[in-house]
Order: sequence, then C-alpha cells, then structure tokens
Amino acid sequence: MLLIDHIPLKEDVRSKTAFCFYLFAACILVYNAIIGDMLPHYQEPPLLDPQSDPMFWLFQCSGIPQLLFSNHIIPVLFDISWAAVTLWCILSRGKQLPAILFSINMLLYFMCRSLVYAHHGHGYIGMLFFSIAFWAQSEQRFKLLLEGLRYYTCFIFASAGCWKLWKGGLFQAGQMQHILARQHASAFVFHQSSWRMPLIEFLVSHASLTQGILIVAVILQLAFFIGFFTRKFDKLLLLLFFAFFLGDFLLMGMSFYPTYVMGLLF
Amino acid sequence: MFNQIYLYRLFRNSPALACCFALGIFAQVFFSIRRTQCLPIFHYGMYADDVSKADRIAVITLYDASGNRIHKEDWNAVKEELLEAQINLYAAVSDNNGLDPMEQVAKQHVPAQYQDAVIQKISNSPKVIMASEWVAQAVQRHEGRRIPKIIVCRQEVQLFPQTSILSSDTIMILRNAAH
Repeated sequence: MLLIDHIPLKEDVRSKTAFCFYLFAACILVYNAIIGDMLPHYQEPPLLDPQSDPMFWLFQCSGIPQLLFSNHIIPVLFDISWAAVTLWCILSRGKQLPAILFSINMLLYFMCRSLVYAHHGHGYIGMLFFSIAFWAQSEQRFKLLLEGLRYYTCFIFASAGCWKLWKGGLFQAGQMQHILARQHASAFVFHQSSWRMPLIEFLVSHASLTQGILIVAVILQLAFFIGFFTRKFDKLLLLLFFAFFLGDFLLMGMSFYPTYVMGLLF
Repeated sequence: MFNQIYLYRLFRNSPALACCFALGIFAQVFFSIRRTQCLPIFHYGMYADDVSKADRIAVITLYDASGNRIHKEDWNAVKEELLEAQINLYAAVSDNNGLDPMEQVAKQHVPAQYQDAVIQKISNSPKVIMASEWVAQAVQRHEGRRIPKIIVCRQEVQLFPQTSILSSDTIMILRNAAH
C-alpha cells in the first residue's frame, strides 16, 4: 500500500497522486522563488559547464540555455509558464498534456540549473522522473510506473551505499571526520558561528563516533536493497528515507528537499 | 511466479515501456562502471572516495579594498554556491592560459568537422570578461552595498591537525564595479 493510499481523497490513485505531486511542485516553485533559485535569479550567468555529460553538450549546442539566459525577460516568462502549467496540473489532476508540459519545464530547469552550478542537481532527479509517470493515462500503467519509480528510489540509496563500500572510503579511519571538515572548511578556517558548527566541531574532534555515523548511514542506504524484494518494510524504508535526509541536512548542510516527494512511493 | 517479476508485468502492459526500462538498467550499469553521467543516467557515488588522507582543500574567499573579508556565508547557500561555481569556472579558464579546458575535451571527442561549431557553443573562453562583471554585480547585490574593489582569492587550507591557511592565490581583482 502506497503512502498516497492513506490520503483521504475520494479519487483514484492517479488523481490523488497527481494532486499531491503537483501541489508539492508548486511549493517547491514558491520556495525556490523565495530563496533565489529560479532562472531569473541567476541574472544571465555568463559561464556554463556541460561537464562530461553528452546530453548537456547537445543541450548547449542547441542554443536553448543561451536563449533562456539571453536577457531578463525570457527567464521570467519561463517561470510564469512553469507556474501556470503546474497550476493546470493541479486543477486537472495531472492530465496528460499539462503533465508532459510540466516535465519539459522541469527538464529545462534541471539542465539550465546544472549548467550554471556546474554539477548535476541530483535533488531534482526524483521530481523529474516522477513527473514522467503522469504521462500514462491508464490507472494500471500509472501504477506500474510508480512501482518502477519506487525501485529507482531504492536503487539511488542502495547504489550510494554500494559505492561507499566499493571505493573503500568507508573503511578508512577518519573518513567521515575529513568529509565533515571539508564540507565545512570555510567555517573551520574563519571560525564562523552558526547553529550547526558546535555539533560539527564536536564530531570532527571525535573521529570514532563520526566514523560510526558514516557506518550507520551506509547501513541505512544498503537497507534499501530490501525494497527490491518486498513491500512489507516500506514504512520502515519511508522512515529511513527521511532520517537520511535529516542527517544530511544536520551534518552536511545539504538539503535535497525536491526529492522528498519520492516518499509518496513507500 | 512470473507475475511477481516487475519487468514481466510491465512487458505485459507495454512491451515498449518494458524495453525502455531494461535498456535503462543496462545503461545504468554501463555508465556506473565508467563513473560518468549521461542524462537520464546518473551516478550516485558521492563521498565514496577515500578523502581521509587529503588534508588540503581550496576555499574561495572574497576581500574588499581594505582587506576585510566579505562574509559570503551570510548569504543563503544557493547564492554562495552559484557565485563559487562561476568563480571556479572563471578560474578553470584563467588557469589554462585563457583557454576553456572543455575545448580540449571537444577536440578529443568531437568529430573534426563539428569541432569549431561545438567549441563556439560551449567554450567559456570568450565570456570570462563578462564573468568578472557578473561576479562583481552579484557580490554587491548580495551584500546590498557598493564595493569599489573586490579581490577574489583561492586559499589552500589545511584542516588537520589544526586549521591553517597554507597559500593564497588571487583569481580576480574587480575594480570600480558597477552596482
């Protein structure tokens, strides 16, 4: 049973999920507009980095990002159209046409943002993939796509855990201590004060405890392998899903808030 | 028994979707082995490498004309991250004698007849002047004041056994920046 099944709306799974998903997306748009993470806030950034991703090379060669960043007006129009499409999705409960338009907007935003920040914005991948599920009109196919998305969510966590085992970082003494110190390097060097720093300083000075946290985090990630074989523990996985992001926010200062919507799949 | 298998059920519903899903799995394995990303295939190996022996790290710092540090960490995280990304891209070009390293990548991987067109589209080399103006304006906008001179530095810091600045290198000096 999906988390969505507990939501008291007298509609089918697709409509209920669409309502929740696009409402969440609208909140993300508003939040990003407040914190300054929408295309107009980038103020026509001159330097773009396609990294080593061939799709980003093609995207940049298409001239689309240059067009989107060519003046002040186009990014604003883009955001208005995205907001309008999101509203249309909420009101129509994710009809196919607005759902496809939303995915295109989402993809353009994701790619432009990744070009400007010079790294793939992993936080938005969940929303991007989730939006594609609404392209399916039949209830049965939609449920199958949601199931596939649930597997993908399990894969993200399990894969991250496996990489930490495979690359050996987990087995190096002081690994987490160094990760934390690097993540907050500026704060350490310039003795900045923030609500997070006393905790970070404590952890960095207790290497064994910090390494223990890394081991727990990897076990948590690997626990998502269970999700490939059974749905019996989905509530536990949902708890672990949010526990991981909470830990990531508290210790690393990283917030993957757009990914939270994947919690609907458990 | 087969009904328990997701791919089989997906195939029964839509063979095309099932093929896409299977192809996605193969592509994921392929790109994961290469540790590269190719939309829509992503790599989730962050923080997997051993960093326990690397005790030096470069941090970007900003100073005004009087040598006072501009506290960019007081801005919100996305503003700081965006500024640092642009400064790092600028530094990548200036460290490479004014040539965007992506141009070399393009020369290695793009067929000769398309190289010029691709380089023209992706290269950051001609845009570094605009980047310095962009950085100056962004810093002043985030600080909410006019800053006549901004010095952007890359400092190598040591974190263990105690934090200290090992070296400092000026990336750009922005004078009389427009607000």
